[in-house]
Amino acid sequence: MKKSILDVLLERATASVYIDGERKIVRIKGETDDLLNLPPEQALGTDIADHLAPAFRDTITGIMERCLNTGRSESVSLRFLSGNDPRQVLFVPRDFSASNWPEGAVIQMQDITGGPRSFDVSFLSHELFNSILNDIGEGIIVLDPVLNITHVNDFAMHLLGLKRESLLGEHFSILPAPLLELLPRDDTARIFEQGLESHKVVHLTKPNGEELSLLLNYYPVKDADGLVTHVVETLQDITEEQKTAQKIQAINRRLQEKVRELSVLNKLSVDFNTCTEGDQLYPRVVSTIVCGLGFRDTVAILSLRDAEGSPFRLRAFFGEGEELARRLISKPDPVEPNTLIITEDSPHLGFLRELDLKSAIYSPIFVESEVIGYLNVYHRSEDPLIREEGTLLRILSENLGHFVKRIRAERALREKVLTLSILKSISDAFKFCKNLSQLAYVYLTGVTAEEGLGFNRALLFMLDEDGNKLRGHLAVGPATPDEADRIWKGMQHGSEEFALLLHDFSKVEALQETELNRRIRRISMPCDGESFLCRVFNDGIPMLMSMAQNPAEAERKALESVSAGSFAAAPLFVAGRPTGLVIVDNFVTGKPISEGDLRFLHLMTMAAQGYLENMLLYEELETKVESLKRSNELLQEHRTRLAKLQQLSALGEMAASVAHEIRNPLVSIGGFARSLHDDKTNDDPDYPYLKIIVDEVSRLEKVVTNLLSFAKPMRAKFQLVSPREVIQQAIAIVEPEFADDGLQIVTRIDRSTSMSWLDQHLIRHMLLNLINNARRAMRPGGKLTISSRISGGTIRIAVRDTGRGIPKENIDKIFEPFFTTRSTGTGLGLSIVHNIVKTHGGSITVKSKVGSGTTFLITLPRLEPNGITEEKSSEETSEDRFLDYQGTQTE
Amino acid sequence: MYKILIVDDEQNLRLLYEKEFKKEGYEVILAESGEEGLKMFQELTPHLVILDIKMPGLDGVEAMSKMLSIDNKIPVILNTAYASYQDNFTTWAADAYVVKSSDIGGLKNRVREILAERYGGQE
Repeated sequence: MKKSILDVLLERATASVYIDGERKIVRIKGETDDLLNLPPEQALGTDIADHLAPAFRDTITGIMERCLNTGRSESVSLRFLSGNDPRQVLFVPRDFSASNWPEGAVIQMQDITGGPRSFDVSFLSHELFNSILNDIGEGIIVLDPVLNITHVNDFAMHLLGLKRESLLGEHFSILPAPLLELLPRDDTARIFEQGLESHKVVHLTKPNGEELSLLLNYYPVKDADGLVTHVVETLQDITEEQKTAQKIQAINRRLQEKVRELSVLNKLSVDFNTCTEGDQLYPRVVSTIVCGLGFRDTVAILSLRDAEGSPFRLRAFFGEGEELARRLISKPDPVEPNTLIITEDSPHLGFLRELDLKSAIYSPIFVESEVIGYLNVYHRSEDPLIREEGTLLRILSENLGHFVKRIRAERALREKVLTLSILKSISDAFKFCKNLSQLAYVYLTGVTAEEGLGFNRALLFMLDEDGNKLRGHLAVGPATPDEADRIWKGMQHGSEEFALLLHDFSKVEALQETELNRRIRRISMPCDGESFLCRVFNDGIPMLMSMAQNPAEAERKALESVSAGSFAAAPLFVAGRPTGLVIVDNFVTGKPISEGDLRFLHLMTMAAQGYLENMLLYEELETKVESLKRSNELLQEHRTRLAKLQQLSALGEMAASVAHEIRNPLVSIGGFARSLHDDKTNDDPDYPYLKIIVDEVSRLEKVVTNLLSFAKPMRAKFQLVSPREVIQQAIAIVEPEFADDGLQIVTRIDRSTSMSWLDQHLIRHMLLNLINNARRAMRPGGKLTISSRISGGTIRIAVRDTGRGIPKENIDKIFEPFFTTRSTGTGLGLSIVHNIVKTHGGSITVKSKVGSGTTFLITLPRLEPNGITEEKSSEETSEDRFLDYQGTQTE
Repeated sequence: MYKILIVDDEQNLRLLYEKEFKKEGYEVILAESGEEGLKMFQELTPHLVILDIKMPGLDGVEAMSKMLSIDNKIPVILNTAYASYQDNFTTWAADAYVVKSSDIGGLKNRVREILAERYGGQE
């Protein structure tokens, strides 16, 4: 509606002459009497210069050229032939190609004399015009073809805060700069020929300081020919709308940022929940911050520390190189519990300026209420930081805090599981241990292996039998730093499965030979003092200790040989009593021993204790069982012997009674036979038969005697006799028999006449038994050698024969009663000999070689009236030498 | 001629000893029990007594002590099959303790020795 009113109001047929490139008039419009001195029909096709006063004819060419070249309108005052007064004309270069003009027209010359300053709206008064325009509700500024202001309505003035008088008639460039936008000052031609509408939002400040937002519109006003004659600029106050629009924009922006934030957080949330390692997550966080939020010239840094008091370490950075990151880390962060935004005016900025950074946000990462790290963003560009960025960082920091907490909890859990599985491996190995050394090996290996507790060394001390000293028992690890090196190198090549290592008891012996073990076995410490180790031992509490803490002298000396520095000690209790002590240290790596390690050590020690108790009980049990077995065996032996003795005793009793029964008849038989024998002489035919009877009875009597000797306990009747004489008597008795058998007797009897307390009957009996044995063993031509030597406190008698000898398997049995290899005989002879020797407190030995002969060697103490002689003569000789001794030879 | 009293409950042995000691030129008195021996001792006063120990009724040791209480100078020889009585102090009162053997030679020697010692060749 506006447009049509304006069109009507402003349409005015100004006189115009249209000229082509050669100055020819191609069209005429309006009243051009003042310009042309020919009627219109005749003027067409003539040169416009011809219509000008001669003085101005040259000017027009230049003007036209300029217009066409620059495309700008030009207003000039020219004198025409048709009139006397100069006319103000406007040359406007135009593009007529779009219209139905004859080709060639390029310039419109308008007569604007008396023009814009007085706008002649003949049928409409100024006031009416004004009131119509004012009701529109917009500011209206009207510009004429030379862009002078021809009309301004009240509303426009109100909006602009200007007065009408100051605007009317002035060039539009007097208007506030924002209003001049879209109106190309240098290109009025474009407006005036293209007649495009256009609009723009501009902001201006009124003279009173008020801020306005205006929507400018430009309307070209066209005449009947479609050529633009005026331009109307309308001003619409959209300040409020603008503000709302701005608010919406701001909200939109914020929404967008929030969306960006959320997408950043979304991208990372999966990572926060699934990453198992900080090193997987942290780089993603910093890169997402920078890239995801689309920051330019930004560096993001993440730093963390392991424990309170330890320094912050760079964990991830993005945006620039590591060097910058490290320099940023090197400056301690301002200690603030909340996210800190550092900008231009912050006191913390100084350091950042050195690095050419404009602003930064420091966001602390918390676990529980402890600061464990920082997430920082630094900007190089001037882009102001927004609060939202701080909020995003805070959210990320919170999540990082949760992440670290989760990771730590998972790690702790894993460690616990690992601890349990290690304990299980070790416990399983304990079950297989058969003795203390194996148990100690398993325990110490578990403590030192990497898969176990991972200590460098473990030393085991056990209470000694007296119960007042701790003695080194077994150790695993190096004795000196050099050895450590060798061992470490060796260990790198072998990777034994932990469990296999624990069960490999063959290592126990090898272990006991290491340098450390040799040293430790020489260590012995008192355990009842007030020293640190004694307290650990007696109180049963594992503790950490350092040698620098002034230990007791005894401890220091004891542990010197193994160069202990700082270590942990744990006691071993068995059946509630302190029994041992374990010392562990990290002698090689120097790694400090943590409370966790100490707890683990304690757990392991308690596990070992259980098995140790069992093992010791088992050992005790075994010992007791052994002892019971032995007792049982002994008991059996005794029973057997008792049975045997009883048997013998019964036998003996029987033998005795039989013997006695037999003896009397034997006396009769033998006595009468002897008597008859004595009565007769050699030539009597019965003589030899009687002899036989006598001999056989004699033999029987000997058997009876032996039997009776055996049966009754031997009661020796000691008398002071000459051993020499007793021996000689025995020899005398057997001599005839030997002669009969073709056997030789050689005697080597000590000349000594010393006396001794002996039972001569028993000694004689003994000798007779031995001699008879020898006789029976030899064939005709054999030789019996009897030697005796009396020296100092001993009587030695040797009886040697050259008979068939005693086989090895029988030698041990010959002194057993009833043992005989002959088909006849009681087998009691040698057992009686043995008894007699024992009764005299002596000893008897036998040497024999089958085929060569047998030697019996009897040793008797020479007893004097006052008791056993203490005197040991230097003449005492060894057995063998004695046997070779050449004493007196009788016969 | 010496008179010898021999006490033994075995008849065969009595016969043997009689034969042998008569051969030696002694007068032999025999008794078959401790009681009889005692009676003989009191009645016939031998120069020497040979006693067996194991006899029913009064045994040799008892008989010996009775004899000794009558005449404590009488020489007594205990002649027995049992060697164990050697240890018994009650036998120590005897002048000799001989274990019976088919070879009477030992006994004969002891008799000779003791008679010579006691009576010194008288009668």
